[in-house]
Amino acid sequence: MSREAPGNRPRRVTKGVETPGVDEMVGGRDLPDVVAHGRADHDAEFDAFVAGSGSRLLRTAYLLTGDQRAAEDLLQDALLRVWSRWSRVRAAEHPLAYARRVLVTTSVSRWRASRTRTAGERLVAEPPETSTHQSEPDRDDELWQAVLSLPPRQRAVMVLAYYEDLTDADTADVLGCTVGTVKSQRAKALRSLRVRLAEEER
Amino acid sequence: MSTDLERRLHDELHDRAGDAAAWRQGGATLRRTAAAHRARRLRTGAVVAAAASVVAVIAGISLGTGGRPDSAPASPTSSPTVTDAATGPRPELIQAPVSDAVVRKALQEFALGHGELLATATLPRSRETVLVLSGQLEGARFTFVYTVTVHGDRLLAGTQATYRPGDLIAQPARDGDGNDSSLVVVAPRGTEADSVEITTSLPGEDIRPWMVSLDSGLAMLTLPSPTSATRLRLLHEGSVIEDRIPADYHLSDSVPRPLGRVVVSTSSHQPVQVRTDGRSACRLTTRGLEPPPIFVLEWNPFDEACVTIDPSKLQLLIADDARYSSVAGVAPPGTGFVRLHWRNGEVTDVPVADDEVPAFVDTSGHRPDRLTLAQAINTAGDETARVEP
Repeated sequence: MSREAPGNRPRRVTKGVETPGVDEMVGGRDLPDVVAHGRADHDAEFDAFVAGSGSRLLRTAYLLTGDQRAAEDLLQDALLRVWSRWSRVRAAEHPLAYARRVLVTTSVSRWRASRTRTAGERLVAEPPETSTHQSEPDRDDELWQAVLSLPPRQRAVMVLAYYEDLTDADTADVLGCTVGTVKSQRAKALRSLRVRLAEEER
Repeated sequence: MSTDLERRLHDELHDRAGDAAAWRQGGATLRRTAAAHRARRLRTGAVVAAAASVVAVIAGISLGTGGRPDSAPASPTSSPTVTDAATGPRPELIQAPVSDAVVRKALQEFALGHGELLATATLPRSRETVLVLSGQLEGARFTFVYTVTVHGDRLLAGTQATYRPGDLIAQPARDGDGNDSSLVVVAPRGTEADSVEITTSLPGEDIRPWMVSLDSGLAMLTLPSPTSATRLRLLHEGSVIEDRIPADYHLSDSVPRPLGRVVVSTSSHQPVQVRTDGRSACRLTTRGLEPPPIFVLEWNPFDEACVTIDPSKLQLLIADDARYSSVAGVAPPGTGFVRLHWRNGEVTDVPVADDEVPAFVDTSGHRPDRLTLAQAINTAGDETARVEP
């Protein structure tokens, strides 16, 4: 399935790459692309961005991590990175798109770091007891667990495609890869989900 | 959306996204956090410099120079001198390539004109190189050991500790961003140990032992926090041959002294204290050097926070290690308790010490970086001061 941008969506071009349109701007409004603001404006714009986009980004972070606390940590790290580049971000980038990109890349790189950490180490503590969480009716727990079992990069592709509704081109921009890679990752992820769900049904 | 699976996926992700709570942290808090990170990076540099100054004085007097000030650079060597200060070279501990120039620079930075390179290794998280330097005072009881994290030819950060000659060395090194560190373990010369078990514990989290193989006497473990290693056991074929608390050493003396009076102390394995001299107050994670504890020193440069006391304000003592430490502070006189508001909406009331310095330490297990507001509440139940971290 090829995912293309809706034709009626306003779009802007940044660094030669299309980014989402104004319907995804902070709190439903665009931030002014004014460079020569005072420090107070600079700070206030960031505050407004966090206030307007924080919860939305947190939902994405939650889907990437599957855990509220981990999502908060991830988003905090991502927003600190956004702030460290805020002058450039507000002048030249779509803040939300940039923050989403930082969020996703931070998520994937954290996973890489944790994978490095476990190399050569053996956890000898007893694992925690299995959760006694009761499933809620009408929720697709099998699918959710299957999504969480995907490798982080594939999970990120799923979240960007089916939650953020990004096109393959936008997803590639967020992940810093080619459209072809996005398509193959999405295909692999869907295949893995089908296999996992089929196993669950047996 | 072409398939049933994709439609299910779309619906499920939108449904699950609704499980996420609202984001409560404001831009101002994030900006302050970023500023604190910057300050920490700068301060770490200052701590390194301060440690260098201290050692420079000691080295100038004691390191076989006949009292000659040791301000001159160390004599350049054609290759790094690789020795255990006590008993000669241990080339097997050099496990990452490092140039002579960087070693000389690190030795000069720490004024270790007569110190030596003990070990090098690649840090597991950042892939940067850590140097382990040692310098022993002539006739002294202790050996100074430094870990220095380097990137290329840049010295990034350092930690200092003091050991008895021939001790097991276990010391955190900065590994990546400010909150990240790894424990560098150097087994004593000639040990038959083949692995080391490192126990980590953090407020609110499980106590976990980690097993790491010794590679030619050297091992590293990525730590969730520099303070988190609480026990070390050297093993040979599964049998324990040495068992100790890593806080058997102490790190740099960067806290204003004297701070002899302990206002608050938790009763945990590594007590968290607020200590004061009446003018300033510091939060420290502490451990007695040896039983009986003749004195108590902090052992972690990332886990301290100090303020000059202002009786009109509620002041927080939040360590740089804000993820895994705890909130402490000093409240205005007359405060009955301090109410802490957390990012997840929970509220914790913490009693303050009945002291002229009404200090407090939160023991609820909440992480300092999740604090959104603190209020000083007097005995009548009124708010007298508030502060956002």
